[in-house]
Amino acid sequence: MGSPCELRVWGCAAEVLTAARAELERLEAKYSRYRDDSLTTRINRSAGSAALALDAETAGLLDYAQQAWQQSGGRFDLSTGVLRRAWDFKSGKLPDPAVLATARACVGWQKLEWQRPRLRLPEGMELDFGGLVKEYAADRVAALLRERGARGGMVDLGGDIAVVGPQPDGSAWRIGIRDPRRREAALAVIELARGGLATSGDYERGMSIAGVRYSHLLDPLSGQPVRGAASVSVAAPLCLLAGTASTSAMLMGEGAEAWLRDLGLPWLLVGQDAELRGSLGPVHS
Amino acid sequence: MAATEYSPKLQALLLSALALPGLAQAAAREDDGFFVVRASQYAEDAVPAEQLASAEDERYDIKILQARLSLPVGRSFSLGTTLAYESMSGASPWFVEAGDDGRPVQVLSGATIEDQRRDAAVDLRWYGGRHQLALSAGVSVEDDYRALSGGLEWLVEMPDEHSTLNFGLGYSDDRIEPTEGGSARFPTRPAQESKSSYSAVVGFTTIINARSQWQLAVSATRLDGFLSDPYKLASVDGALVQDARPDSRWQLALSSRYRHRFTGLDASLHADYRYFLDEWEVNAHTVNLAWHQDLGDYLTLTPSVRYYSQSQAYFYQAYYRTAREDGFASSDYRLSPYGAYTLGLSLRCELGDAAISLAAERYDSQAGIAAGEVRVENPGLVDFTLFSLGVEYRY
Repeated sequence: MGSPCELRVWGCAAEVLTAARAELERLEAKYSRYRDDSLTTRINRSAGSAALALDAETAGLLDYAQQAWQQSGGRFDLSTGVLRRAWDFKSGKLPDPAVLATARACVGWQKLEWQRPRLRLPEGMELDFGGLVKEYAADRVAALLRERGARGGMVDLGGDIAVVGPQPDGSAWRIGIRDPRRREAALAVIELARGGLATSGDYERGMSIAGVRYSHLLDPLSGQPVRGAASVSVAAPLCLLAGTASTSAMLMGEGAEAWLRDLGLPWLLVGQDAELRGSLGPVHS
Repeated sequence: MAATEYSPKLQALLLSALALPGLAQAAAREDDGFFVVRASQYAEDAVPAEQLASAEDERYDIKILQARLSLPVGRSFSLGTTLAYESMSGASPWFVEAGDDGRPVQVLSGATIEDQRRDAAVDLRWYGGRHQLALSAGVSVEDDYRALSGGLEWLVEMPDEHSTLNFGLGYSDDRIEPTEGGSARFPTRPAQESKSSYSAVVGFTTIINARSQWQLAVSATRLDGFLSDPYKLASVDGALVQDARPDSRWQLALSSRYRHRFTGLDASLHADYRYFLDEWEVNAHTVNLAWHQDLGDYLTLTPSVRYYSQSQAYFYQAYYRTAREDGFASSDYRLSPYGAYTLGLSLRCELGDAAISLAAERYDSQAGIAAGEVRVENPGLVDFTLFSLGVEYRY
């Protein structure tokens, strides 16, 4: 899944872990955009040609992505990845305006044709399921573990967390929200008894030019890096929902708090000044 | 999950997420604890003078206070309790007689009735993978009445993970000791009676797509025992006799509930239909439409309209010129043919874990708007206004 994964589980047979691992590998193989044989790669190669008929799981993910795109006012968009053709954060340079304009023309969910189960991507467009597959995988693995008898546990896929059940003593899991600027330090510890938690932040991969910091988070509407929170964590009944809520909040800049309040889920926002705001608690600094 | 109210944006996302394989089950156990209190004021209109033959014209006013608390217990259980208190006062339709021109006129119970009703119920729900089991028990007490009830519900998620089947069984045992039953003043009024009811329901809920959900349910109820109204009389050939109905009644109902989210409009449509028929030949249709419109971040405004129409019970008459051979007699407006519409408006404000809702409803019933033709309107048909204020808190 491209990031450290941790599985804590109790009360079930060891072979259940093998099944959990197999499920993660299945999703990784199916949706990774770095693998030549993945469905994502096949979808992206189909851009500009005939529509592709997709399986029920992928169709479900696309339906969800469409709903998230609508609800977030176009911020949550699986087609945003193309902007990275223009923004090279390792180069330390701003993108060439012409290249950026070309990339922006290939971004926007409204441009693709999605009529379940058929998807047609216009020439030059790409989809990246990275914005939701990790969260979906966490939820699926947690459900699988519960179904196979796990009495408690937690699936942590690089900060996208789904709770299987409580700790052996019945208490909630304590999860540290790391400091966006000092990676090893926890800024806050929250308790999670059920559901999922996801954190999005501009932890890495940004760049500074002439004292201006450019975050790696790109707004699909403007094509520009977003200036907003340093990180947003959201707790939800499903990790998938938490991920959509936090990712969209990061892309909303100033509008993040209004979006989070509108959703009504518990959230914790770390501002650029490291100030903490939100209803997700308890918070220990 | 079902118990908690989510913001419309989140609901739309959750519905799409639940359509994904495996996730309906993952979210199924997210029943948080919640607490709701609701106070309502129900006021029936006075009976119009031209349809009235008694001095008393004021009908029921009811004040209602309801509370529900639901608590998660461990990982696999939730425990709920519901309490309700109603305080009623006013007069109720007593009997109908022929007016001077032969048109039926209503006589209301002479004295103002004062009564209180207290309900208490507990339910325990178990969550096990694709299955949920719930047991419930309740008691309801009025000055002249007490009912004990119990229920069992089984919910199972289908392997396609988009659909759920539910089965329910219910039982209720009611005893009534009518005020002044068998007294010198009301010699025909029974002193003590009882009835029992058994019900079964089968339902099917399916997520059609990311924006739509549909539920179909069929229920059957069997009532046995004293099904008449001990406080009502019927006019037979000018004489007043005790309300008398058959002592058993089969009821069947078919209901369909459809939910659709219009994402572009930030709104949801709830469209419900119910068909009812019973052994007494009462057929009824109910259509309910509600539009849940989000207004900004915190508010949801819901206008609704409901239409109801029923045919009469086979033995019902506004008044009887001759006695029926089977001995049944009832002029209860609830067994008469009529139609009714309800207009409702509610406003809900969500503030974090808390929500406040305000609702108003106006109900008007008339024979003239019934789906079939009605020759004689029952003068006791009720019109009412209902206001309610609710506060809820999730934790």
